[in-house]
Amino acid sequence: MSVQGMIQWLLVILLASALFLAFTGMFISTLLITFSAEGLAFIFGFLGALVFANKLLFGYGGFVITAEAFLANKEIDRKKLVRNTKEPEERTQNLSIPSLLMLWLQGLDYYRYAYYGLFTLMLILMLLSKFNLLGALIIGNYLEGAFWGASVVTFFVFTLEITAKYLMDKIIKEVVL
Amino acid sequence: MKYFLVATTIALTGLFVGSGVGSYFTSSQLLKQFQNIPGSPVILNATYDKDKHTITYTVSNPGTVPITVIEKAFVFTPGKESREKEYVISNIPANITIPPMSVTMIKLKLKEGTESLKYGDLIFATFTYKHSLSKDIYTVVHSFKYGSEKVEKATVNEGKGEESK
Repeated sequence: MSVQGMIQWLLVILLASALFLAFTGMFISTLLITFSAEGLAFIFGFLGALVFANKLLFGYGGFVITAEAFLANKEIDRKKLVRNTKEPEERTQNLSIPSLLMLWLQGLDYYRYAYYGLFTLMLILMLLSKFNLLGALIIGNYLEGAFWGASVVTFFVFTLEITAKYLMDKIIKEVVL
Repeated sequence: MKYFLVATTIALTGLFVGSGVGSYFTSSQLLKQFQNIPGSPVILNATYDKDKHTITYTVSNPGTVPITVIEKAFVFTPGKESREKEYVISNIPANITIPPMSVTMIKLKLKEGTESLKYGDLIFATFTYKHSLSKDIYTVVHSFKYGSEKVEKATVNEGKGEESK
């Protein structure tokens, strides 16, 4: 084996062990965070928001995938799309695919409003306890943990939502022009 | 343009959420460590009340653990103007808790029947205290000389005046 090859292998081993250590460190620090009471509050908030946002995450996620496929001129399963709009079969018979996509996006609005409403309620509760107006400074820290857990999920919901709306705008422009 | 706006909004929101989560965990850990720092009491001020014959000490607890003052004791040393003899009173029971990061008044009653403090009288007060983190007992000693600098100057001037007359 040449010297260059040896050095290359050494570098590869070094990089691999560095990566391994980095991931172990991340794993252990995550474990340490979740072992505290605040970490538990964070996880509960995260899971609760995830259950509540499930419909939104999968709805917007599916919409983004379908819209991208439509923009790339790929074939779209019309039956599946009709099922996602939650409209009766008779009403959607003569509709084009962009209008079906629009109906799908409109159907998700109810869930979005409910989710953001609950998130805002959580924010208000957290702020009230932070300013000691709720009279419970002890649970304030845990309320904040739950809020931050929920805010991570809210970030994904928000991201998917604005991406879906951006794609919808793009489709409308393409259809009209 | 719109693509850029959407991407920037997502990136900024992600940064905000990430920094919020990170600072929450950091601050809560810091708070836990910060809640267990015992401080030693700092006597900020001592004032003498002639009518009640007591000295009031303003004591601050700079730590984040409550401190309990168990005992008080003091040594009275007379100045030049006083006719009182030197005396010691120890083991005065006290059960005063100073909450973390706050200020409390502690009153020290002088010996009954003695005359009120005169300029130059010295009082060495010893406060015995403990906190919940250890079984040890600590003391803090504070010396208090009656009469302020203004009084001292005034008396000196008076003396000079009398001499010149």
